[in-house]
Amino acid sequence: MTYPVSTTQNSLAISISGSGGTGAVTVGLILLEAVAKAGFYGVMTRSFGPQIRGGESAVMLNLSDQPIETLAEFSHIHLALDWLKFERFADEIPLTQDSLVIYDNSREKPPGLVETSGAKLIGIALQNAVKTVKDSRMNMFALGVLAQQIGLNSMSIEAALKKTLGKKGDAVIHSSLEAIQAGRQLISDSYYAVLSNWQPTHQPRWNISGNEACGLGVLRGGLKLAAAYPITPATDIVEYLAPRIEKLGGRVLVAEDELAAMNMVIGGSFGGLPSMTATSGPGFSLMTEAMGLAIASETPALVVTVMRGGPSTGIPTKSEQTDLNQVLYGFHGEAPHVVIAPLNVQEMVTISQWSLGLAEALQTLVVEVSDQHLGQSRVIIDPIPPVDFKLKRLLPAATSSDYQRYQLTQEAVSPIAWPGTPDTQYTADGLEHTETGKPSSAAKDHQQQLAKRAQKTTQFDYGERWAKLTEIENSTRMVITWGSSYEAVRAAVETLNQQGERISLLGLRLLMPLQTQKIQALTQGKAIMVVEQNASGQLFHYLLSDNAIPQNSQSIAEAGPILFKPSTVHAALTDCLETLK
Amino acid sequence: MTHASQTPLEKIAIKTVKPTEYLSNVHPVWCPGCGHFFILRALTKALAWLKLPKEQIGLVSGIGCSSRLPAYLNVYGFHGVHGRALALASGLKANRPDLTVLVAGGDGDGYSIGGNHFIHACRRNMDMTYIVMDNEVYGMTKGQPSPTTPSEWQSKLTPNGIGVARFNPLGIALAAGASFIARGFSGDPNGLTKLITEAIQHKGFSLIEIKSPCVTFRPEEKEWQKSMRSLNISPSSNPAEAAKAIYSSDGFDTGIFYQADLPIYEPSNTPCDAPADTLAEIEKDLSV
Amino acid sequence: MNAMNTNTDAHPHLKTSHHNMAWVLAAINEMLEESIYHCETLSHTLSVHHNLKAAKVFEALCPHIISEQVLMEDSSTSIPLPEIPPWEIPYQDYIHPVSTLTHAHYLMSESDAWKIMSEVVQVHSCFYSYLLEKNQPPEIESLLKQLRQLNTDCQKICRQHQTPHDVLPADLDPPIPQS
Repeated sequence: MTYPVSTTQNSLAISISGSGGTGAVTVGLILLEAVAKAGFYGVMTRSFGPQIRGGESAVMLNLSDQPIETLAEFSHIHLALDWLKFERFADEIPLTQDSLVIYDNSREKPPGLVETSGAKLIGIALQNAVKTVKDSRMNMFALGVLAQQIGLNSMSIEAALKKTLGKKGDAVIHSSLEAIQAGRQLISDSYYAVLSNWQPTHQPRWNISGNEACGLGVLRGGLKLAAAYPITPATDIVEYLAPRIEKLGGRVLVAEDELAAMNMVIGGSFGGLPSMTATSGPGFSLMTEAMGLAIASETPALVVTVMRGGPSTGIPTKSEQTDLNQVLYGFHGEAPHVVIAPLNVQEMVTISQWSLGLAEALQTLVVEVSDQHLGQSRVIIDPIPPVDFKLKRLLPAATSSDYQRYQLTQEAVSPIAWPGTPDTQYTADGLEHTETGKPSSAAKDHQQQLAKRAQKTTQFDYGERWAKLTEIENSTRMVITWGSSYEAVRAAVETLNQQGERISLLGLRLLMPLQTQKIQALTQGKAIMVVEQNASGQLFHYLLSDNAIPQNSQSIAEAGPILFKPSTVHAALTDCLETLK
Repeated sequence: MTHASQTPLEKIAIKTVKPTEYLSNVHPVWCPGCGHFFILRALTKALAWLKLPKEQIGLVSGIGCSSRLPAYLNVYGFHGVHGRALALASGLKANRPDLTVLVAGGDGDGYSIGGNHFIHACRRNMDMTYIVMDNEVYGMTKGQPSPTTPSEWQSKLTPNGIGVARFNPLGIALAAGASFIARGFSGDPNGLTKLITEAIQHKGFSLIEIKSPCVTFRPEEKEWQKSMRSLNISPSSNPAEAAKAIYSSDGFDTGIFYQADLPIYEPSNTPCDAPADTLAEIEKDLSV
Repeated sequence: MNAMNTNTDAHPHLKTSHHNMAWVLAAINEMLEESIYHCETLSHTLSVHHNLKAAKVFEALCPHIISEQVLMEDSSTSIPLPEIPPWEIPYQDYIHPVSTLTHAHYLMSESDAWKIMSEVVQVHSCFYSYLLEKNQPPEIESLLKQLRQLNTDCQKICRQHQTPHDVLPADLDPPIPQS
């Protein structure tokens, strides 16, 4: 069966699998970097078994001559260093009769599902090949095989190899290069030598993961404290920050648990400097009390949550857009705050910086929602130019007498004193309080402070960044989506529009406060379809609850962990469009 | 200066800082007779003696009678959630090592819900002072046993006695790595003032466990006035010796049990204004 | 921190140095400041707990202690008082007001309040008597005797208002949890 491929750009999908430290991931990393050095783009995701080391693992690359972040419909080339537990990857490495499967034929046979896919199978003696080059590894031969298959030049491979394995020393580099060269000879015909037909770019590009992009964004935003407790799949963010934040005068604080982490963020922020934590669903649950404290005490705080399969322990290593309800509603009392979700890796640097800036300027909790797919995908992107959002804390005027920390002001944001400044001492409090911060149970104070905390987020002008709109003239249909679903939806909508439909696309970034009026204006008179990666349609119900979308809107909601591809979205949208006729 | 007494002696040249200068215009609402009043006074006397500028002090508390402290002082305070004061204070000190960081709370806030943070705060040994006002009961929620309540105490929640051994905060602090461990008593304000002064001056995590009678829910604790006494030995910097002193004590000794020069955790020594060049260097690493 | 006592004596931190006038004045001042502070604070918290009668007693007696301070002020010239560590004064056997204030109760009677004040003032007398036992210059001796006389007058007032056999009334409102 041939799957419909996105017609919007050239792409080539390569996957590699292997176990027990065979080095499948290294092949993927070098290949991605090499393809980038050759002038192209790509996205790499990975999958693995539960073993801490030595388990089965796979990498999936989708390459293109244009920026790309969508998952491939199927693998054009799959290389199996071995077939141990390959069934685990069946959903993530679809094989069709257009696939080429290369494997080591000196060991176990391909599993049945590979045979039944109709793919072309080529067996080569990879293990034997290792004997021909001293100190060589099988995966380097595999790299040579792949390079030859896709028409990737040796210069790019060599540069990528040195960058990735440079630390291992010259001997390793030398033997690896020999192995790669030998690998090029192992298969005489190339079936997917497409790179020579693509237009390479000579512009600078970045090789970056979503979690790294988040880290860079907050560093650009002036972050000085990251307090965190390790949790899959968010730990990478803090690991990226640790050696870098110190160069910029900041620090990472390893917390004993998530409860400590969030309170440390508040303490650090109270001290006057931008502070954040990174977590995922279960950690977020633990942090909710402290997040409420940040809101009530009006302490700037950024929480980046990298969603994974839920609920409870769920599926830690896989992605799902399943925590929307949690980040919107997980707090007791009236807890107005800001929720922002980047649409892809490419914009994560800017959106993360924006999120931190908003926390500082609005003196409240900002939750930036990412997910495992965005966080752990490695993508080749165009470099992100610096942006100055001009978002800073409002400090008291130099001559302050009768300073009131929670003073009611026009913008509902009151100046926040820098500890160490004379005459502006105050006590921040989770208890409801008067304008001075003195605890109060009076109705008037409660109403005023509730209104203050709500208004400062709703009155703020977030500018154009609240959503990404692709408006098609005279369209009567609109698809709304968010987060990591965006790229697949975008590709599917583009294809449908090329096929004669007129569908506009709205990618929401600012999820709270909900820009209801703006969304109503955009959706008026259109048939709406909301696409999201969770079982119950959390975004759909959220938009309905505030009448942001019409009552007859349709929901396309699929639980993870198998993520949307352009084809699956295309099929689902086609079904919806049918019902409209 | 907001407290009422403006005494005639101000006419005499007193160059000292008055303890009342550290008070805000919010008066405590603790029960008449509560030990916390004397702790508050001793704290302000210690701060005045050390001449610490008010604006350089950060005071973090949790929830409970003792945690109401920040509102009564004219410093930068944070009244946070139950049990997490030490974590909040650690974040504050990490970002602002220039501030004098004080943490206040009770036995429930610190040893029950806050137990994990207590252990790790001792372990990190960051330079801060933790003042625990231990009245061996949950006062704010009206009289339940806390981890330091004697096991035979009867309450509505535990009509047949608690049946669980008491928490040993000094022992745990020692094992966890705190570098200054002392016990004080609200009924010995002079001694307490000295302990607080020394605790603040000590570089590292200082714990002062202060027995403070809850006259409302544990009125029998007023008898402590008769039993508490000063520790008869000098503080040791040897943990084994200090452990012996802690375990030998019947719980009525006040003084410093342990004081040592241990490594302090300081997450970053670099100044906050760093050259922007390094951001460019960081971004260079991303280049293909 | 210049006059900071860095000795860690095993025993009481209280040192006495009653030989010069400045020290004596500083020590008395510290004792009086402490008593005034606690009486004012207790008066305030009793008001907050709606025991206005007892609150008024402490409020009424503060001026008596302040008058001790005024007496000192009048009889001294402009002397810079030394900065003595607060734990070293007033003197070794000083009994801090806490030992009697701990018996305060939000339902305490006026008689109880007078009794407590009496005990606080008694401590002052003890200090003055202690100082008088050591040889003092004549101005100090005169001052101390006057102070002691103030105390005696105050005690008379306290005793007048005390009634024997006082029983704490029952609390008709049980406590309500707050957090």
